[in-house]
Amino acid sequence: MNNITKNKLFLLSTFVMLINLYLIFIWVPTEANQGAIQRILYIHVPVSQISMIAIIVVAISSVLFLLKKNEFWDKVAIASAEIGLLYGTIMLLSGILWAKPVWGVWWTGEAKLTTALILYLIYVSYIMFRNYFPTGSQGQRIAAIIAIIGALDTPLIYFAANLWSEAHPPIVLGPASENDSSFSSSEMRLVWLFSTISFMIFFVYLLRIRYKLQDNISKYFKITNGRSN
Amino acid sequence: MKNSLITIFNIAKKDLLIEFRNKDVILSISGFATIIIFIFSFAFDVGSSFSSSTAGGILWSSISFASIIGINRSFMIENENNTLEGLLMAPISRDIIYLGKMIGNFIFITISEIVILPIFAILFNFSILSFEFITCCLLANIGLSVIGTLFASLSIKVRAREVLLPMLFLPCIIPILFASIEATSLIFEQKSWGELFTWFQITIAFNLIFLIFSLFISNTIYDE
Repeated sequence: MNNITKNKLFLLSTFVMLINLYLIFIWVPTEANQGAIQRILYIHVPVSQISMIAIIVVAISSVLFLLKKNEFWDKVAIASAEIGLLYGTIMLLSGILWAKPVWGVWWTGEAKLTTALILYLIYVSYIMFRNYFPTGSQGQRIAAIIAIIGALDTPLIYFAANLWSEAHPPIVLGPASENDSSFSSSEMRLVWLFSTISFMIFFVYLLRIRYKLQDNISKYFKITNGRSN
Repeated sequence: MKNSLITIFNIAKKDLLIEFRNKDVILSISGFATIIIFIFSFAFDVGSSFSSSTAGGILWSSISFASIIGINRSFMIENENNTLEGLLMAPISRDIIYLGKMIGNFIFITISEIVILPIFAILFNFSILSFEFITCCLLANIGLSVIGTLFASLSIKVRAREVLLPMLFLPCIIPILFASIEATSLIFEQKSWGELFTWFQITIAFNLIFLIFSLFISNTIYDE
């Protein structure tokens, strides 16, 4: 506990997140069209942006791992994948909660939603695969290849889902069906920006902790020679 | 160049020879897909009235479920007898091994479809003998075998691969599934080539991207 409170990033993240909560729930005016439910977007939009950034980090560090064979990049990849998945879960749950009152449906076949869900599923299986891999460099290489496949697949999925939703128009009812802009005033955009920054700091903090954990796990495996028990 | 083609052909021929002796892969793909098509046709009450997109969806989801089981089976045979190690020890470059296995799997899926499609045609009252539909099937088969062979070779040493392989394979082939389902329902509605081609483009792009990626990465995949 003492270690955590001494961590500067932890203190900064807590401080910024508290201000963020104040801005979202008290300071920013309620949006006229959607009402109080629009406040979910100050969490949903930053969280989904950062989960996408996390997946880009996974893909880039997997490429670097295959090129340089440096274990550092493998540890960054697993750390970023797990935290990206955590953010992705928050993104899906908060999005579903927002969509029901605003669009009139919990879920619809819109291209961005389909792509996000499929990408989420690919990275769920990436993490499952990692847990079943043989330990050592072979497993790390295979994991890196799977992460790159996921990243290569994303534009294709988006393109296909986009064409698909043109052929089968998704059902969108309710207040947001006509006017798509949910951050109309400059105050709203400011809170959105601040929220993105504070979730980013929190992401970096979590990434460092998860990286250290992975580092310790691999040290442990080196000592015990790959035996888990 | 000529030697590589002969080696690719020989690897595929070896797989086909094993297959024609025990008929493991083709029976598992065609049997499984047929059962899924039957179950779906009862579940959606296809006999009375059906929409064309339902039929395309039923066909392609059953083929993709079945093909991953078949591809997994074709690698299990190698794994059970440790023959893949023998193949890797032979003085052949790894991309040629990949291509040989991929072409073998492509032929398995295509032969299985020769069994599946007439049953589908009878149940759904649909003419399968059109040039557009055959193109659609062949393009999708290439995609399924490219990505299926890639994932099956990646997961040879993984525990619980029967569960994990479909979990990874199915989300990754979503672009092919979307394109083939939509193309099939457009063929049902007898639409023009222009509309079909948009969907074929996706499958062609998918096949090219993953084929080139697999060949590029094949040394890493099979590295011991």
